[in-house]
Amino acid sequence: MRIFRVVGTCLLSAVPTLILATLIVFLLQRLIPGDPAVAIAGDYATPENLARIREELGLDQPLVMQYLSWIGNAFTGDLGTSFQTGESITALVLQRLPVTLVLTTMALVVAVVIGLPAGVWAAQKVDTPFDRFLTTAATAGIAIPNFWLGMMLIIVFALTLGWFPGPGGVSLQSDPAQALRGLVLPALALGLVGGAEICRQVRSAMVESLSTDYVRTHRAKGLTNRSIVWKHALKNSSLPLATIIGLQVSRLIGGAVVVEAVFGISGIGSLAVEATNQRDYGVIQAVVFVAALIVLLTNLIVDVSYRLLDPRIS
Amino acid sequence: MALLTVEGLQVHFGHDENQVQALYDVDLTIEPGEIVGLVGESGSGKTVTSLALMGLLDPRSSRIEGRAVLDGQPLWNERGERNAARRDVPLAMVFQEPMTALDPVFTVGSQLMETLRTRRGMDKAQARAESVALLDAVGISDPKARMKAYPHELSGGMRQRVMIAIALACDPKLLIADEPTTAVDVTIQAQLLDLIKSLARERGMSVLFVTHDLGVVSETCDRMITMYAGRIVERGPVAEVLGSPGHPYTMGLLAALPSPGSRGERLATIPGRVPPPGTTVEGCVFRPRCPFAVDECTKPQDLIPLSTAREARCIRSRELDFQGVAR
Repeated sequence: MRIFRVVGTCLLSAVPTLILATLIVFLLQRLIPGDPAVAIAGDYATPENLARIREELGLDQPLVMQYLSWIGNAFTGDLGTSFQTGESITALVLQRLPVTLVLTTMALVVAVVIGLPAGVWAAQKVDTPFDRFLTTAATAGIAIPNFWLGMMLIIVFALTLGWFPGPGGVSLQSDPAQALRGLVLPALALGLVGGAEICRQVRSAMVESLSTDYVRTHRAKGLTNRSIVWKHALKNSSLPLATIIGLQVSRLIGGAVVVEAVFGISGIGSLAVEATNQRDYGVIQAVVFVAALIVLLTNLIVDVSYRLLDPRIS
Repeated sequence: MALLTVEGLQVHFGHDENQVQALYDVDLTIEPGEIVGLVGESGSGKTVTSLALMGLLDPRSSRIEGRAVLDGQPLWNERGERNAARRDVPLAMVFQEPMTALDPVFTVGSQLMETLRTRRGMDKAQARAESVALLDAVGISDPKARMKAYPHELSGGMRQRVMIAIALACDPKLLIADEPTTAVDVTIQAQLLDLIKSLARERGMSVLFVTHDLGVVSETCDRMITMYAGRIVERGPVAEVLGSPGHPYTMGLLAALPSPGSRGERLATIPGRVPPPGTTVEGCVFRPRCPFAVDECTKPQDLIPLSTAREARCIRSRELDFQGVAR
């Protein structure tokens, strides 16, 4: 029952954040120079023509009205129609979203699978050459830009060794297995940096946990080192761990924009790039809205997990 | 036969030229069922002694020499490495800080049960039943409900009782209690002392009571050992030692105790402080702080027998009549 109350509270606190995020994007779009009516009608359109287009798109309404009608529709699942193609934006997003979700999930798995054990190992060998090597490698890993890493991975594993398909693979819908294979390199490019970050955070949290009085108590009771490290110290380090994993999700979504471009993946990241080039307000708004939803959902999961992982938080 | 025999225990911290010696040739024995007080100021080596016995000193930063046998089993090998089968050694410890010594994110029950399952190989159901019985034995009311409690939901006294229950779960023949009552208030302190005493009596368990509080020693212990700067300076039955100490340091500790007659007077203090580990003092290590020091005290000092059960590391203990306290 506690869990329902916790989820409820967290959901309620997410609503203002979502409104704020969409409002900022909405206003920013209106502040940047450029008129979508001009973009649609072309540079030589007549003023009457432009006025007609603005009216059709609702751009002649006051900003408040524009925002309210958009957000109202958005919550009912209608993200509007694209200025450029006249297609339903909801359909467009739904078509592009799955591949990005699969990519970021794979990248998150890569980050955790690499970062977590590496951090735990380093913490156990603290101040040994092994620890120093791992910490240095992690710092270097954080500094590597993911587009560069992506290109290196393409050169080595796709072009030279041919283990994985190169950029511009098949779509997830037409051939899932082949598409997943094609997502391995992008997921690595995206996830390795996150793994380095997780490694560093886990290491410092574990070093702290392992030096506490209760770990000494566990040693005194004769628990095995494995149980002390992987059960007790890790659970006590889980708050910073949940925080960093949660942060990684928003980083990965942001990083997907670049990595999708490098690997020619038509996900939501490349959709955002295309829409920005074409000044397609509705699509940009929709992408930000969806990204904000994902980040908020992640925060919600992180918040709930705090309360489940640490009984002292109520 | 003694339950615990320690011979020539030495502990060094650090490596090579940065090495610092924390314990010097500590010998001690504890008989079955006996409660022994290990007394000294901070830095005297009493906690290092107990951590060494527990195998809780980090082997990467410390080195142990000497021999320690508990109930016929060596606690470490010739090279000072912890006995691999330590889990079978009937030894357990209660720590000073009940607030931090329990794992905050696991329930009391799970911390007890895992101890029983690792140390005594019980299955889940047995461990659960035994945990409830242990909580009951340490005087926790409604033990079944308390199994589900997290440490932060308990008071300091209750947490220390849980610590004692966890120690008992190891089925120890020797319990090391490191200042278990320092962090709780006085009424709880008295209850915990009574609890430890009665548990020791019921179970025939020996206790090594590490404390700086001579009041606790006189109430609880059969025998006491005074440590100073990593060395044993005096040992003997509590009544004898407190009645007429054989070492000026023990006398100083006694004089520093407040007593009903001393109201309004300044409490006596021992001038100076414990030399930091690594400092070398020629002869008696207490000499720089000792009001009775003579030239001969610059020679190395041995423990000198004062009676059948008493020894003190002071060449003048027979000649001087150090002041004790009437009991």
